[in-house]
Amino acid sequence: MTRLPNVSAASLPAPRAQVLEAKPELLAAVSGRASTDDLDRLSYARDLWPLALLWIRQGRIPPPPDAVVWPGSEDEVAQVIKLARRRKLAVIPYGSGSGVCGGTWAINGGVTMDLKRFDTIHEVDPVHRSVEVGAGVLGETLERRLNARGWTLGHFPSSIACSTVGGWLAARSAGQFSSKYGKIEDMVLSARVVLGTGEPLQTPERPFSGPDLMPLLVGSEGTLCAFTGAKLRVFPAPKGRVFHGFEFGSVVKGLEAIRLIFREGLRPAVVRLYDPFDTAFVGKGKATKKPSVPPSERSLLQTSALPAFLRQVTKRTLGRPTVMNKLQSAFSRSRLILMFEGDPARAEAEDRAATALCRQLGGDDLGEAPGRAWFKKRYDVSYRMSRLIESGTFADTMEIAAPWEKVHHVYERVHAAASQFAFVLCHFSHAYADGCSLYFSFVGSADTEEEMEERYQQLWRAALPAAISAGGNVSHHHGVGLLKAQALQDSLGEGRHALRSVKGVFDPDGVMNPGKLGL
Amino acid sequence: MSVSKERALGSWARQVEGGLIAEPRDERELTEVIHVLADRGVALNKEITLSRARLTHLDPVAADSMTVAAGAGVVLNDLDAHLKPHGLTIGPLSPAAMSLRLGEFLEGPYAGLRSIPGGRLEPVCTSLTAITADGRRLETSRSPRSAAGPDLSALVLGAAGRIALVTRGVVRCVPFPERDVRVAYSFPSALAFVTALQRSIAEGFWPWRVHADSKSGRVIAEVRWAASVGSVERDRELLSRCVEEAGGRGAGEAEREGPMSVEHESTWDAVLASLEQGRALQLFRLSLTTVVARGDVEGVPLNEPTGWTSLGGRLLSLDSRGVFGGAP
Repeated sequence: MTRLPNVSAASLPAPRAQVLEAKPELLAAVSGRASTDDLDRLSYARDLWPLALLWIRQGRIPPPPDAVVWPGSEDEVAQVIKLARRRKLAVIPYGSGSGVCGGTWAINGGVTMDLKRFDTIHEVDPVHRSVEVGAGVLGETLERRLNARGWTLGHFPSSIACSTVGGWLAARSAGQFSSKYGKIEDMVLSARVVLGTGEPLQTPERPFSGPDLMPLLVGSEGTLCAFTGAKLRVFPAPKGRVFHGFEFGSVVKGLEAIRLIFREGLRPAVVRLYDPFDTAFVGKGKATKKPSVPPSERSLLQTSALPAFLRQVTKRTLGRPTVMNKLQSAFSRSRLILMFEGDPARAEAEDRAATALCRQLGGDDLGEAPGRAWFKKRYDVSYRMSRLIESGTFADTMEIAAPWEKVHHVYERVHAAASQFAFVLCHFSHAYADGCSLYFSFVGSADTEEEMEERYQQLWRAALPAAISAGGNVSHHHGVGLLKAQALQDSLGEGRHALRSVKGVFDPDGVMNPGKLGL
Repeated sequence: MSVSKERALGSWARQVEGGLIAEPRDERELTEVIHVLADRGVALNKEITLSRARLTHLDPVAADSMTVAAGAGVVLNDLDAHLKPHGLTIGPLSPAAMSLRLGEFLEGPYAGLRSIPGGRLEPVCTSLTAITADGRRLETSRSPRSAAGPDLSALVLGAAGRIALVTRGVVRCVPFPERDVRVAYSFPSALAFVTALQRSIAEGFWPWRVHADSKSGRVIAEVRWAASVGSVERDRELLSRCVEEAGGRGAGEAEREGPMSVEHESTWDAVLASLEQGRALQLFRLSLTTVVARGDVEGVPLNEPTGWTSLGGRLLSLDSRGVFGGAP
């Protein structure tokens, strides 16, 4: 494992004087659970935005908060926000920092508010099929608790081990099974929040009159409110699960199969179509896993010589992405993975119908093996990215959605725009009757760290506008944060004034997570 | 407002019995209406009525994504008739909803919602265009789902035109069904009926309408659904199994004429309570949370606006010029 440069907490900028002056009040607001220590501030300085990893490799630190607080009640959250309004301090709600867009970066300092102490999971209400949970509950903890009682939330983001319910709501998360269970906004029946005014409240459950405020709060990324809890819909744990893989002669054929599957009213939990290069190499995952050696037990060869060799290799290959991307034209076949779950007879019946459609479109039946292999390793991809970064490259992903008429056009445009800056892979998932999501993976390299960062920035400046101009949206499920803030503002057009007006209603002093969403 | 002022307003204004009416022909004229009224300190629906009946533009149908962009003045029944030659339909909305114009359906108590397979509610429009009180254009993303900030369509849906006025929406459609079936079942209790329906909906059954009649503790229900041949048969198998597991069985005939009362958005608890009191109900837009019900049942009436939640009421301050009625 490559050792990242040591980042010294001592090199942090000192907390701002106005926060130090407010520290006694902060301590009082959260029963003493506040810190201005450098180590705490360093720990909360970043999320999983790959740009931060590039910075850290250069010995740079993302902007840290001036203080960190750990409130344990809605009243404490309210006290912190009211204090922030009086003292003109920024408040950055924080779940577990799994975001990849800089949504928790303290760009103007301020107070980062960790909400993980809201960790209560109430008993499932079996009549209304719902469960009330705290915003700080980790996804995996929640799902295990539900499974033990015979239920599932149906929400499986790849960050499930390190993301919270509050983070899901703040960033409009989607899980790998979203085609059946929906995104997080489809699962939340009501939410408990503290607004930027400092008022705690609970959103109403249907039926009610007037506009539904939930769609404004969900996806607000801490700029309007802090989530403290939610009532979520749950489903009986599936009794049956059917996997099926197909291979098509082209991406276009595979996309057509997905479209027809949804047109027929079938609802696979998992739909993943890999582009040709992904199909040829990455998508052929095997169900067996190589045991991982902990970093502390790795040899000098593994920690030093091999990474140095890999860095040279990646510079010579990924540093010339145009050549690498041209190699992709040698591949054309596209692999589709389907998984149906729930009532066993229903899952089987839907699988039979989907199989008939795929065969009509010339899909080769690969049986259940590809799906099972994916299922077993479905959370591994995020960890593979860490290794890529360690080997001296940059890696990132871009997820967008588009109507069916535009999906392939978006794919081609983004591929063309990004190819000169990074090696490009894509898979299509999170499908709906009217379109689907495209999930691009980018891996690149350059001779120096500075050039690498510049290439990373060029990549985003090329890829996201290409997606939007071709008919895609700004984000399907990663959110906006800082990374896509300008793109969001541009895409809103005059609508950005409406967003700003909503901000004025719920956060009149602008203390909540400044800079995110371009607010 | 006097007739002389009417002339000064623009070609979109005319005097009718009962007052002035503004009838913009397109989005540009609607924007002009808003600016002119704001400049003159005139509030819509107080001194002048707004009609969007002339906003009837229809874009060509997008066959792959099964969507069509329609003006706010298009009546949903008319839109459905337009879709049929394209092999599409709006899908199962309630009869009262289908008689509304698109704008009324989106902004009114129905909040533009429909149920989809899996028991979820979602807006019938994937994208909206609206004019806000400051005369600016608000257009939401056309992509199927977004995580790019808050969903600003919430400023339109169910907001009674008090925050923004919708001019058009991209309507999600479904394939025109190959088969339309009605099957009657008998249940030993209201609870058995509700359990069977909820379970089948959670597994993907998508009923278009249910008529439930409760007599002497038993419930006789006629369930109607429509889809492709294969889908109808898959749903029949699932529903029959869920009915049996709840203690029900097939029945010969059921009453098809439901009560002709106001439609309400009701919870399943309210449906259960109503049936346990021996009432008959017609159910539409069946989701896992709420249904649209006709009959004697508790719920929010959908024929006229009712009071907003206090949280929703805060958004009225976005109409700072008071052109849509302003803050209370």
